[in-house]
Amino acid sequence: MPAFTIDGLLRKILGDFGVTGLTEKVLAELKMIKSLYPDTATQIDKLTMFLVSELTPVLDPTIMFNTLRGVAMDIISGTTGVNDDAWMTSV
Amino acid sequence: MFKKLVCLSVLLLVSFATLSFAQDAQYSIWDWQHRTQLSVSSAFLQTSVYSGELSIPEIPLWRGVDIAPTVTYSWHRLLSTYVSYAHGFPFDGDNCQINMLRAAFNFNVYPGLREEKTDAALAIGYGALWYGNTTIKDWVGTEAHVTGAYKVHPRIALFTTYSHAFGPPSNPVDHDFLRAGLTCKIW
Repeated sequence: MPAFTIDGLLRKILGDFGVTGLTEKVLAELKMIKSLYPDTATQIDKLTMFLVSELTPVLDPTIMFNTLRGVAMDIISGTTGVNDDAWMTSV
Repeated sequence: MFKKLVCLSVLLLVSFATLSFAQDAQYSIWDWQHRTQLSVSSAFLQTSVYSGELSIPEIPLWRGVDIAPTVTYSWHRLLSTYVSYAHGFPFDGDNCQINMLRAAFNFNVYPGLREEKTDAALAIGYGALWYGNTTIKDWVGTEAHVTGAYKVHPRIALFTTYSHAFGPPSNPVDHDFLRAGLTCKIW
């Protein structure tokens, strides 16, 4: 397993989408928050890692395209599962 | 021999039971009774006119609370559509009340198909937005949003959502929306 760093992952993901300036701003904000609240640094790292790992497949066009194609094929088949918790994010 | 048969039967039954629990119930795409969900949310709402130039001294800002009934249709475990109408009451008495209607698609980022069901959810989406003071026709555009939610009760969830609304070519002014509050499943 490669040694991931949050800074490296954010730079890679956001940099690939041409928003390098935003990446630096996000990293600067994270650094400031962690310095202001050192007790929360570990939690912030965990949360950032979670968000990055969950959003990576969404931000990768190939993976996203394949996922959407799978969803479309399921729907075309006429029978699919239901997300009972869809109401939570319909806000 | 009899003991072996009984053990094998129990093992098979347990295996089938586990398998049936692991599989999601499947319904027809048009089975609206299983796919439709009705909810009401109430939240802190902030809207602002988006500008790339931070030097603009005064950006029109609206802050208040809103209440929003919503109808959701779940097409798939990862994809749903919803229509939500929100009426907002301002904190500042000088501001008008606002109305907002959204019709959008939601794509579930978390939990995905490989993850077990959890109390947390993360979704991104895109749709149409109508927004105004006395009507919903003052501003019409499209919006993209990211939403995080956490279930605190089988029918109640905390949520926060950020939405960026894109103005049409005839009125190229973008808006930002931030909502954070509670949503409650009615049906």
